[in-house]
Amino acid sequence: MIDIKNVSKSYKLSRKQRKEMGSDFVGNSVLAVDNISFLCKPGRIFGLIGPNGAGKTTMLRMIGTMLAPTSGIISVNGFDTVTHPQSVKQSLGFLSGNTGLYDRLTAEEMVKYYADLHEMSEIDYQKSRDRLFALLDMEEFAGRRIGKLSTGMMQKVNIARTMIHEPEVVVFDEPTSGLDVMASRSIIRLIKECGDEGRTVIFSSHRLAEIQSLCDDLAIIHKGELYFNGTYEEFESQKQEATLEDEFIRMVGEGEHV
Amino acid sequence: MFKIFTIIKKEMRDLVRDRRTMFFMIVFPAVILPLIIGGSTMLTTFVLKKEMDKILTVAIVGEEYDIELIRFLETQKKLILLMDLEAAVLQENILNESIDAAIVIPNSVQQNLRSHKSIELKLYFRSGKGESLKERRLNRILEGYFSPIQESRYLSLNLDKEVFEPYYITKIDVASEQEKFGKTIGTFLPYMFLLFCFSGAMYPALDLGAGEKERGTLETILTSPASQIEILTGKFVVVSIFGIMSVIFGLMGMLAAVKLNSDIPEEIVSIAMTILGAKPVVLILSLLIPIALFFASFLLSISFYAKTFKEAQSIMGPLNILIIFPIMIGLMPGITLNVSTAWVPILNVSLAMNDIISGTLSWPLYAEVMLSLLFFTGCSMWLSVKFVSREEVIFRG
Repeated sequence: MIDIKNVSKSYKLSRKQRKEMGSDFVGNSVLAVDNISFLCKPGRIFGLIGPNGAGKTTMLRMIGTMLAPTSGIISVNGFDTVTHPQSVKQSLGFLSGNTGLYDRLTAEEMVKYYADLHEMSEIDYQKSRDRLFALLDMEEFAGRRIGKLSTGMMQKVNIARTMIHEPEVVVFDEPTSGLDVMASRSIIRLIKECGDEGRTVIFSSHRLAEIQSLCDDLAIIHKGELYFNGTYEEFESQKQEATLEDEFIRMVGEGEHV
Repeated sequence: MFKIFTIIKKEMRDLVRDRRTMFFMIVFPAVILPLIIGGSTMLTTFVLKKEMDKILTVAIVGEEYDIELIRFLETQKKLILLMDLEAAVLQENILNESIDAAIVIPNSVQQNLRSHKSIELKLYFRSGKGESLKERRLNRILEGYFSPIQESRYLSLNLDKEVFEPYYITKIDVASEQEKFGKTIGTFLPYMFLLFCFSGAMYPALDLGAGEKERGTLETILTSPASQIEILTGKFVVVSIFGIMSVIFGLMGMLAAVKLNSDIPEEIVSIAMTILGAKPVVLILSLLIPIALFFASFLLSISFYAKTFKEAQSIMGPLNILIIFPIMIGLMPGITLNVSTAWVPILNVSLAMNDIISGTLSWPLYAEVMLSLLFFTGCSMWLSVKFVSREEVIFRG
């Protein structure tokens, strides 16, 4: 479970960054996330959508303990991300478009490295590895260096790395960006399976069709603020436009005028 | 601890597969540098030998005034005498390289010889790169001719040579052969070792900091259960190991170069082997471990701070000069290892290594150097931990 209570995050700006913000900008910091609260439950897929710069990645990085909230509390499986980051990371799998792989390691070595960092026993590793490599069809390139793999193959390695320790909570930050249809499909299938297996899944994407087909719950954020938070059914019943895309544009567009 | 070990194992495996890092850690210190040193020694020997073997064309003006000298010169090997040039054209001929030198014999030779007076021989030559060797060769030849004349003058006048030499100095150097040799190469070796250590640590630091940031792998590892301190410690250890390994490969390369170079005299090889023996090497390495940690923490901080690999590279490049500066101070006359200099990082290592190589190391000063290094290494590691723990540094860019 991921429980987010009144979370805000502001970034201090350097003199150079303040200059780049233009003469209209006042103050020393910028608010990336503004007093956001939501709950991601086990067995449900939580979709997080918002335009570029909305604060999605900042929010997910805070869940992943890479960033600390300026105020508010984030707890993952009952552990506070600031006071118990190691316990949080032990039960967390994090996959984003930004998470890179080591080109000079083989696919097998990369996955084993993360298993070792999670201090998995050899038996547990072998079991999980065999399941994932079969599921993702990775055996063929397990011994090849990552630098020599195609983008789709790399993403499979990234998924295996994320899931090797069978995390209870999984964060997917735009995992399909830059991928072709085939590679995207394997990730979507995996996200669905994670939900079916009872894991807590939070998923952000620009591809609204993916959100529509996968998510049980939904949050829309824009300029760091929460515009909607509820189940997908609630969203469907409240929406004023015919499609998710149109409704999203309407909400974000309205936000632009606020 | 297990996570740190896992990180070290992975980083080592990753870097060993990186050609650029391996080049700067193994190929450069162990192969290329000894080749440069060996090559330059061979080149110097070759050029000197070539110059010494070169046949000199020397014009003689006034050959008729000293037939004995001409006969003597004609017996010399690698010397061609030209007798048909006028004094007025000697300079021009030397400048256009048709002759190497010229000797002008005065008409007063025989008279001066009889009256035991000095004879003024004019030696025309062109000074400059490589030319002084020709002058030296001719001087030696003329000395060979006039020395017996000088001796016969002493005899004929019944004079003791010592009358003209009121004193002479017998030098008794109490320095051992190791010390004498060590003081010469002892200035050069620490410079090389510190540079190897720095350049050997620089590329892994670039790769494990800015490189990981740029490739997105830093974000990946930050999501693992390893804490930032564990990640940083693992990287510290690996960067330090690469710095130390560069020096070890450098030492091995130099040993090989000294052993395999037949142009180096046997006694120098023997002293070099003593200098590069087990005890000095252990002492040198004991200084290199803390300085490698110091470099590692310093370089990793810069690497993590930089937005890109290129930016980190552009910051680290000029740092080479910063490293050279304290080493250069150590080369100045009068700068020795004492209670004050023992506290200055890099300079103290350079001076202590010099003393180790010369076999004149003072143990209390060595202890002070170690203390200073551990203190500064501790400070720089603490600073880089603080530095790297900051979000704005990790996600800068």
